[in-house]
Amino acid sequence: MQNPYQKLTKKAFWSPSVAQRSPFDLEGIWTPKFRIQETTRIVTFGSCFAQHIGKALKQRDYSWLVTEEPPPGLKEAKRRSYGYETFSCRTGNIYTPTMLEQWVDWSLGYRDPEPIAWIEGEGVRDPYRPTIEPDPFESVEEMINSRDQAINSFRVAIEQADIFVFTLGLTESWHDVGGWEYPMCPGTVGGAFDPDQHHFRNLPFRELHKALARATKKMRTINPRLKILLTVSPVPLTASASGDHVLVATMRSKSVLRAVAGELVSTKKFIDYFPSYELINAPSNRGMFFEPNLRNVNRKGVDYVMDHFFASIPSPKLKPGMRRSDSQGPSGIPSDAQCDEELLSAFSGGH
Amino acid sequence: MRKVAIVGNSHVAALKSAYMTLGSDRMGKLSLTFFASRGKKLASLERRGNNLVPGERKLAEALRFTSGRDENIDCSKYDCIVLYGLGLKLRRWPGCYYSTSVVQAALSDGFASSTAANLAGKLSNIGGVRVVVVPDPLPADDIASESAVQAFREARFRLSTWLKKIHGLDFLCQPEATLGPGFNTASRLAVGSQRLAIGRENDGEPHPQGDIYHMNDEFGRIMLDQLRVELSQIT
Repeated sequence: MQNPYQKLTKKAFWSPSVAQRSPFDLEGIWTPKFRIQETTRIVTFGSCFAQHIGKALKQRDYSWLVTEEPPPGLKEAKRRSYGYETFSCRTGNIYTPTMLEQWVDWSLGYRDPEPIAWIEGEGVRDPYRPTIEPDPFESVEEMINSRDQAINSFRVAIEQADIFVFTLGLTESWHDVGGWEYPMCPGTVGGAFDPDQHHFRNLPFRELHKALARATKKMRTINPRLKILLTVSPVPLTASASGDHVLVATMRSKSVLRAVAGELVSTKKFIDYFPSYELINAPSNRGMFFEPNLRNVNRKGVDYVMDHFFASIPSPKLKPGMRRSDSQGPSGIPSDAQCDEELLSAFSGGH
Repeated sequence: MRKVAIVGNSHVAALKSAYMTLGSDRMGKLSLTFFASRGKKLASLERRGNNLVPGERKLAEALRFTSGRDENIDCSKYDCIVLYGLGLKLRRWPGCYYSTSVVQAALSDGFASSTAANLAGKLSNIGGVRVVVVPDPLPADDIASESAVQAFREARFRLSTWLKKIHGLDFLCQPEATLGPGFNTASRLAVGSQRLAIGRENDGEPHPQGDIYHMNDEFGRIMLDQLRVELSQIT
């Protein structure tokens, strides 16, 4: 009598599909739930790593939808420093499912953002997008107008997309007493920390799961055919406010986010998961896809992930002279992802 | 008479051709001298005192040919220098809100990439000479169906305001009467455009059929009238 394992294919077994293979021969890591073609309109949001997906989609002539266009004439390097073409619109990093729900609520009119502004010199920073521009806004009015533009563009992204890619980044989060969530702790890249106003929360599985489920459900009220593709950022935490060792905090955070994604994928037909986290962190890779700081994913790692992504969907048209692994530019050049959370390393006090 | 030097690239062809046809009387109290060369060659002009001096022989020949006498541009001889075309683009702004900072950055990047910016920098601090910049004509691709006059006015306002505020440059661009149905030049104004004459065999040859970037004599006439009116007002 056969047991169930005898019927499984090779990919179900660690030794032949991971341990005995070169990491570069890994196969069948992802079977997409839904069809992705060159004409499929894809929007990307979330943690830093989501930036690589949008960029790779664009470079390979897939339909990466950008709903907040940069002004004409702005050179590419400045586009990124002003938060254009980083995600599909200028939300900045959305690290948590709860913050995603906050953006969804704003864009669908469930809630209006609190008119909070962080005064910096004679300018103003947006607490919800503190590094969206290199310099502070000139006035509160300008900041609000800019945020409103991003909120409107976020709604357009939901309305017009076929696939909404969301990269889950953190469980650690900062909130104010009004219930609003910030991407960065006040007092780090802007604003001032007030212990009576601001508090830390390491969000639990249930809350994250519910927030992500609600966010996706709300999005589908204005676009019922919208599909969701989740990923988990493979980038470790820069710092943890949880009280745990940052290594333990990282594992906790990523594990919870991975579990949230897994739970939703197994219960919702319209939600899929792409294993970028696993591809970078697999033991067989021995950490080779990290920069020397053991945190940032290097070019080869980004290419490795994106090659797996594109290998699993219908072949794209590569631009003349372009190899599959050319998607992120020349190797050896440090990643240029815009990542607010990295700024926390400045507070390590020389440790 | 006010003396005006028109310094530009291939787009000067339409202007100069119209000027030669119409005669100098058409310009009223303006006396025009053209200094033109094709492509981006004018970027190699070097500042020496009050002069812009060609850094290479072919450019010197083109300037001597187009001006009819001089290969050096002695700026002290002119009341006004018009930087014509030279890769400066009037760009349509999407219907998004932009912060002041990013507007400035975009206009700065757009201007910096043009030969007009290169020459404007070399012309700075020459006393008594006004510098006026005129962008390339909008392409004559009549694919748009909706009127874009408002978008044109917005683009003109943004660029002209910024150039004056940041660089002290006056700005002048094609009149609305030259626009097509969208953010473009009317296609009839690109029919029959010719290469800039610089003393070469292919002088005056028609641009390839379907060229939407270079304009014809009719456009040149309209721009001359525009220059006459606007430059008379710039003191």
